[in-house]
Amino acid sequence: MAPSPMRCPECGGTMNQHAEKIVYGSHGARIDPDLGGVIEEMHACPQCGYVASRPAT
Amino acid sequence: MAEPRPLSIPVILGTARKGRMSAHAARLVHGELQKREGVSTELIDVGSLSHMLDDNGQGTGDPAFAASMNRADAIVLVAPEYNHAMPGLLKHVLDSCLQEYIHKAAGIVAVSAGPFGGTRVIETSLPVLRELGLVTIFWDVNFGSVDKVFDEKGALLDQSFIRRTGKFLGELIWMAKTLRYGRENIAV
Repeated sequence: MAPSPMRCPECGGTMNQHAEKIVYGSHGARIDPDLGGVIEEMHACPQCGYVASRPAT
Repeated sequence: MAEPRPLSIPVILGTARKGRMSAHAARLVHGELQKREGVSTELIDVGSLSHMLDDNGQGTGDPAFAASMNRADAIVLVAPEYNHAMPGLLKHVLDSCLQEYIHKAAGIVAVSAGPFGGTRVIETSLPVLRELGLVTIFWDVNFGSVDKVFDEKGALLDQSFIRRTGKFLGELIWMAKTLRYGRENIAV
């Protein structure tokens, strides 16, 4: 099942996921074993422009 | 196409060194940006931000800087060339954010006392900006022999830099609009 769209922390609008970015560092169990880092989803709000991220599921 | 909100394009003055000539370049670019319709801008001085010196990385920086980067559609880095690279303080500040930069435009204004116009700071900054998720443009502004471009009070002595800056900003704004559309409308 696809994850639910992210809600904008600023205005409550539905955000658009526009990127995934690998982040290297000490994130323990969240490290993707194939990629060697944590995949973060990047989201932007079409209403107010706010950007936010969350760990990929 | 009309933008629903003004484009936010802050100018980051990337050095805190006393007597910095880069401040003149930053004020010039900031002033030219202020003349652009549909653009909001601010001049951010890395020397006036609060810095954590016993930690670094994402989320350790000045909250006001992070908020500015979140709002930004593009950034202008005004970077002097220190030993062929950007000042360490500028790198420290840039490293304090990540998600705020993704799919946003970046342009570099390079400043040097010598004749090469900061070309080496541009070349060494490009991989850094790419890893931060920024999209660099192919126009730069090169302030070489900067003491001949501005007088001691910051007055511009070489008017060709107005046109050069205009070309740079035109490309940056195009990229900022394009990436804003992509961020907000095109899903992965």
